[in-house]
Amino acid sequence: MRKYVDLKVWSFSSNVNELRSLIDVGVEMGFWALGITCYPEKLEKTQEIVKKLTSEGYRVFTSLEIELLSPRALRIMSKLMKKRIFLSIKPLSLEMARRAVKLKASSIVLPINRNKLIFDSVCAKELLKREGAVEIHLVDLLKSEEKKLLRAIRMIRLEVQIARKYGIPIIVSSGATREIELLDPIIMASIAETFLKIPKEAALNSISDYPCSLLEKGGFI
Amino acid sequence: MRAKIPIGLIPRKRYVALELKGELDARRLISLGTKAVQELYGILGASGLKMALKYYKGSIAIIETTNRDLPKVLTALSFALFRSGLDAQLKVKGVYGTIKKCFQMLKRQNL
Repeated sequence: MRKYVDLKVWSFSSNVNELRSLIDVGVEMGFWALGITCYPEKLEKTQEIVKKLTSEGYRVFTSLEIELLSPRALRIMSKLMKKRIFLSIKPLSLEMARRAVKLKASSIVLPINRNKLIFDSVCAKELLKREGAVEIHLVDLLKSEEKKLLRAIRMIRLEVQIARKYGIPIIVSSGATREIELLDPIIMASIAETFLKIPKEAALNSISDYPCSLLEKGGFI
Repeated sequence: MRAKIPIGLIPRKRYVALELKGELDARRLISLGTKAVQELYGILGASGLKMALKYYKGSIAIIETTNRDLPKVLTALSFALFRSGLDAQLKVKGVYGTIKKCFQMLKRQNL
């Protein structure tokens, strides 16, 4: 039996009850564990909530996402690296991606809205050394406009091919911001298979085996 | 008279039991899905794709497709839901090779 994991469920609300019902929906969908995601400003608050939910028996963990727009953002990284959280970096340019892969982040998120490739073979070689993974948010893909979606799929498919060529695991997460946006694991695997053109087994691994091994390796659960 | 097609050319059938949550019924889902199939895969892609509503009752729907088309159909349905802006969600209750097994599962779960 596969253990499905959704690494990114955004927690914009600090209401514990709302989060509890969101997690309940996720569990009902068949997820084994869920990552409660936030930006660095809300890290402490999210960690508190996660701690409370974990004590209630929920299988959740803190997942942090940092957008890397300029080198200035790298300053806060050293502090965050020491914390026991699932850390993802979202580089917004190729230069930032090359810097991001050198950091010990759990995953590199491929942004949807952009015009150029941000993940090339140089990044892939470096990421392979650090045992990182490439992550894609499906809800962002599903929500994007027709033209942007076309461009995003073209670029992400190429980036996924590059990553797979170097044996880097591809991880797929929902990136849901609301309860209604949570996706069923079978649907997530189907979208990954169709949109990212990855084989069925790899698509299923991208929501189960790969994230599970990252969680176990980091001791997040 | 029924046309005979070599066995290897017919993809295996699959029956997907879906639970629809929120402001959505099965007929609406299929009509949105059909539009999404054309939008995503174009006329050529849609021509070879099988998606038919076989049964619906309340929030449960059974969709017939093939083993080959299953990921494309599920992608199109969830894509359609996101595009429609409806407050609705899909849950896959199970995927079966025969409709009989699909009904057996629904009966077991009292749905």
